[in-house]
Amino acid sequence: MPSPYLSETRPIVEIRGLTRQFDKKIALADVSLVVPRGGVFGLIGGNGAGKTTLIKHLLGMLKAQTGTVRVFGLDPVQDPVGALGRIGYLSEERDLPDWMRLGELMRYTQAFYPNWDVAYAEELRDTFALDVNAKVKNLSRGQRARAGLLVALAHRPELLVLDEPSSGLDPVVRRDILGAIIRTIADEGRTVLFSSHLLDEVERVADRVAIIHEGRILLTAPMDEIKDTHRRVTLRFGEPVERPPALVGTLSFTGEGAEWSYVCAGESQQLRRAAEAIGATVVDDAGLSLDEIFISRVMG
Amino acid sequence: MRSIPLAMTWEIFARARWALLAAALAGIAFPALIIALLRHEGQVDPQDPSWLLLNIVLVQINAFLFGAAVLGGQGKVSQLYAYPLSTPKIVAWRLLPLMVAIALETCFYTWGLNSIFLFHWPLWGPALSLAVAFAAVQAAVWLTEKSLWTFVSLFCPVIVFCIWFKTRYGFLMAPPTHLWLEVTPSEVLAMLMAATLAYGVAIYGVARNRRGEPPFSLGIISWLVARFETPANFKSPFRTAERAQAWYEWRAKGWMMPVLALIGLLVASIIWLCVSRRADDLFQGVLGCGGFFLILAFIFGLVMGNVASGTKADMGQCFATHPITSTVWARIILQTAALSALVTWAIWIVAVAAIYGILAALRMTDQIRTLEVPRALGWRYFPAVLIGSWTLVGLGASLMLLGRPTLMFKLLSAVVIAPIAYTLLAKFALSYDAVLELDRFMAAAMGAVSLLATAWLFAWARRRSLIEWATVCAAASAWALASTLVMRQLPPAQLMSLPLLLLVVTGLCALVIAPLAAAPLAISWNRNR
Repeated sequence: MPSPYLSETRPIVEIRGLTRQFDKKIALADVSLVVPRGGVFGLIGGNGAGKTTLIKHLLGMLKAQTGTVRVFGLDPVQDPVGALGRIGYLSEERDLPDWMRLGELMRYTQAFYPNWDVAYAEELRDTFALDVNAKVKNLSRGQRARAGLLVALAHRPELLVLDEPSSGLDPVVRRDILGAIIRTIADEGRTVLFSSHLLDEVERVADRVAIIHEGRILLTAPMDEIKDTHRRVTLRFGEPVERPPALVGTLSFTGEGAEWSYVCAGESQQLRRAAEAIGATVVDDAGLSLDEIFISRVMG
Repeated sequence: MRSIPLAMTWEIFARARWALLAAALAGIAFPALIIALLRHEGQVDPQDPSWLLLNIVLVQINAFLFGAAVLGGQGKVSQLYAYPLSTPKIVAWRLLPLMVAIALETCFYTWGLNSIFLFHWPLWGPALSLAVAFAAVQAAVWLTEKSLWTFVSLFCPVIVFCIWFKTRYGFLMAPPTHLWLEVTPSEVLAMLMAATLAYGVAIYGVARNRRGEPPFSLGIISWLVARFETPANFKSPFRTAERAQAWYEWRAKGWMMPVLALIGLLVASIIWLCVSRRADDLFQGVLGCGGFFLILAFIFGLVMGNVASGTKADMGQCFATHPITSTVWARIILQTAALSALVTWAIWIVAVAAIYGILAALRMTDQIRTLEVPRALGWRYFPAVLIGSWTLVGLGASLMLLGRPTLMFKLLSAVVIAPIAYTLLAKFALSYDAVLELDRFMAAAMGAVSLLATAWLFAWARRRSLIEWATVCAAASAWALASTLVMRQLPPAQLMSLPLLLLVVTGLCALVIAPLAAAPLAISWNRNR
């Protein structure tokens, strides 16, 4: 399968040594992150991990206290027109002007984006079953999310930033949002940065993932690589042990007596060789879901 | 806490304790200051009608301050809907503790002023009636929650209360004749009935809201909206982002000031018709509206500068992520504010001219007296109101655009407290000559601070590339021209030397151009935190 990333091109987002502090709380600590052009990049982390703070830096809503943020090679604070004109953004808050009708919202937003595609906007409105005469304040939570997504997508942005887009929404709306993401990446060369703590969603659509915890990036890698290099192996020892011997790459372990399960970072063959080296037999070797990988990385 | 009423009462007072304390202290400090200043001017007769009126007004100001703190501090009643509590119980334990608090605070206020100034102002009548008035206002708020009728429904209990309160001191349309020293059984009965009615209305309102019924409506507003709303234009796109944003600013906020001015003029005319009907009062009132428009301009400036989303103070994400520079956005906001101020001013000018024309046609212009400030300024009063409106609307917008409520609160508090402190100092601590010297010093200091602050704003905005050199040059030219014109129009200074006068005038004129630099800086500071 060809990689969705065109690695020879310049990354769409480059963050170097970004630190952000709110009073005494460190929200981001020396974060460096590169989001390549094309594909879906999942940013996952628990509540308060720093996902939204990181995204706000990309949009120029927060100024880097230390470090640098570049989107399309531009500083979004210095050049908001250059950077934001190529970004579509949908936040968890779905902040839209309440007094407007949907048609007015579309007309108003269109003026800011020269690449606004009228036909595509209408197509999205039909797909999302939104009434052009409906006032934004009268939209349901799900309809509001769809309206936000419509105005984020209709100018066919090079980078679509979705900050917790589906939290609190029903499965139908979530399907719509995920469907839209998939359609977006189908358009060659476009990128989606998708932040969520709903890991099954990220697992379904992301090509590449970064795990953020307490303001630090714990891991960044392609999804396939992450899943290949995180495994649960169950080992049987010759006799019961009170505490199992260390296995290379162990993130966590559970069990008792002679049989212990390890969650490890490493490939299957590597882990098997390591198990043999400590005198254990591998009785089970299975891949992990992103959920399990995240918990083992974050909780240890 | 085992008792639900106790938990609810604790929750209210724990949350609002500082606001209530501050309101209670301000409620007694403000009247004490006024009374102290009046007493400083000479002996007064407590039975004089103006002092009786002062009692009526001050107790209501205190009630307004404390009532605002109570209403603001108690939080949403909807947070209690999910608790296992009957609606009458929710209403009772939301109303009772706060009614008691208001009654006690009013007693404390009256007792405090009586003790300090040896008055015999009434204690129980005002305390009880204000507690009942609070219940009535709260009931009206709950009845019309989330409805446009809230503003109308609030007037009903307030007007009834004002009439009731005023008639305790004499006839409604005449100066007060006595203090409300004794509360009769019939008055107690009337207040009990009013409280019971308020309780019933409150239960009805809260029960409706708790059931999720639509907001209170008589259908009139929907009919008006449907009748007068222009059809939305979805098809023809805006030619530029600037035009779209200008459309937004006018549709969302810009129309408010002229409409409020029109409503203000209409209400003032109705009041004039009911109360005075004298030609002189009508003309003075309309002319004096220029001062009212200045206050309106500042408040409207705060509205224009509000780019927050929901209850948060900082800029909403919808706007912060629009591909438009802070400079362009600031220019659009200031242009809309200026247009709004200009339309309001034009409405006022037309009203003044129309009334003068009518009086002239009726040969009644000889009855006209003008207020002191318009008379002193002559024709200059009219452009002064326009320029003052622009300055205040621009400064108000820039202040609000900062998106920092704490900083804004501190600044506005300083603006209110500094003149009071200055007045106290001048009245009680200094001789006449020292006050003159202090006046000169303060005038010089304010002129210098205004000049330096404006220069700093322009330098900073320029350094951050938020304004062009052309803007700086145009602003400097406008400032120099305005300063020259004002200096030429001023009569020879008697209390100020020429350099001091120059400093004051140039400082004031600097405020006229300050929004040009302050607004983009404020947006930038709010947007890129």
